[in-house]
Amino acid sequence: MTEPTYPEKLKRAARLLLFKRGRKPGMKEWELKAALGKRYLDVLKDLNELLKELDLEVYGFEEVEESSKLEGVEGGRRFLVRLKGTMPIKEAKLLGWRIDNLAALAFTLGMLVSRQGKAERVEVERALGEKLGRWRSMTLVDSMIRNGYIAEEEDGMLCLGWRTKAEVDLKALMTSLILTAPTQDSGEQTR
Amino acid sequence: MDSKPSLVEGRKALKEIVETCEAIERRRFNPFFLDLDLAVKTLRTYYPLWEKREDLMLDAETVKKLSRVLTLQNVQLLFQSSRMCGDPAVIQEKIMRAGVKDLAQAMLNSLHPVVELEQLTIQSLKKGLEYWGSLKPFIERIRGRKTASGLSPVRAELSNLLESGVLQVEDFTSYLEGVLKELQGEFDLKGAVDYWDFVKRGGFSSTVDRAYAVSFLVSYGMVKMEVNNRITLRPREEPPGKEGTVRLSFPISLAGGEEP
Repeated sequence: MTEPTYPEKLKRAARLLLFKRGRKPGMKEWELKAALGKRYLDVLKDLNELLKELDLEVYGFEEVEESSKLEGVEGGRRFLVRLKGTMPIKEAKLLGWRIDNLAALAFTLGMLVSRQGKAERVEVERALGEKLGRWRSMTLVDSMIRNGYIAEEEDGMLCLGWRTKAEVDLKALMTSLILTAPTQDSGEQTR
Repeated sequence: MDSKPSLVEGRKALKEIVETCEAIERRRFNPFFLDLDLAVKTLRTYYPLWEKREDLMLDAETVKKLSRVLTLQNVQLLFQSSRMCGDPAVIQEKIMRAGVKDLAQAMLNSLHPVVELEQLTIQSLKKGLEYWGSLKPFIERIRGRKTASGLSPVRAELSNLLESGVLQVEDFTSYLEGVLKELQGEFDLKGAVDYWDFVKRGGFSSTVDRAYAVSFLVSYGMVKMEVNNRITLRPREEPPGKEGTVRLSFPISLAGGEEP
């Protein structure tokens, strides 16, 4: 079989990264290497240049934490295509999340990050429940887990999920949260 | 230490260290709450006393837990140095006081959604065609199966959908809250409520609805189910963690909802 030409590899990379195959979007690094050859990083770099025009980017992230690798969990980078910029609040509906659910997500991620990436589920639900009610906080946490923003460990601890690593700039989020001014009605909303 | 170290004291000290480490791992305390130097010093003091296997295992477990706390201290320093972490209590207080719109805006300012396309391709169509080719005719596939004989399909009105439970007047969360309130009322009056007495009310469909709601309440930890000679329900103030939960199932017989 003849080696595909470079433009063909570029098209193949776009197909592999844009079309959803399994539960998670994108492809693992070793899969890309097998599909695109040794120069897969060059192909991805050129694809990234093309996507820039559309405010998209090829993004690679480490799926597994360093600490988990030490415990024998298989690591490796996953590459996917994501929005390079951010979305204005008017277009938030395109994400499929309501504004108040996005706020709850920001709150949950903020709480997890401030506690070095982990917190007890009961505690997160209690904190969310203060503003949203007990039932809604429970279903929201389930929904965040389903979507991959957070993950639940066997001992009832919540940690950051793969989608957070792929989509969220945690430094920017924490900075925004810290700079957020408290609202006037906040005193009534919080105990 | 001034006095000679004893085995009992040593075991107690090591167990206390392990418990503190576990609380730190569950983020109940700051990782720097534990003085690692002092903990290691304690380990060294009692190490010469250990002879039994259990004591040596406790010693090893303590070392392992201390190493995890050390890792957490390292992680905390990394977070703080990258300005991603301040005092958790301060940050939590700050985000609790923020408005919904501000929080949503903060989320959007840092969110880069993934692009995922789902579309038919020639390859997937080929696979579909292969499956279609290998699929036996419907008549052949259902041959030998028991088929239900009944009425022909009829047009469903809104009232039919409501009756059959496809549509509901109240949403599921309100229904669950109603069932929990009812259970709480009965519990306040007469203590632990018998599961079958509580569930078997109204007709068969009501029994199934109530059993379904109770299963959610138990799963969410809002109600405690105890199975001894009889099955009883107790509402809880606070749902516990998921540790030690057991999955149970109770079939409801079609013959009048009798328990098996």
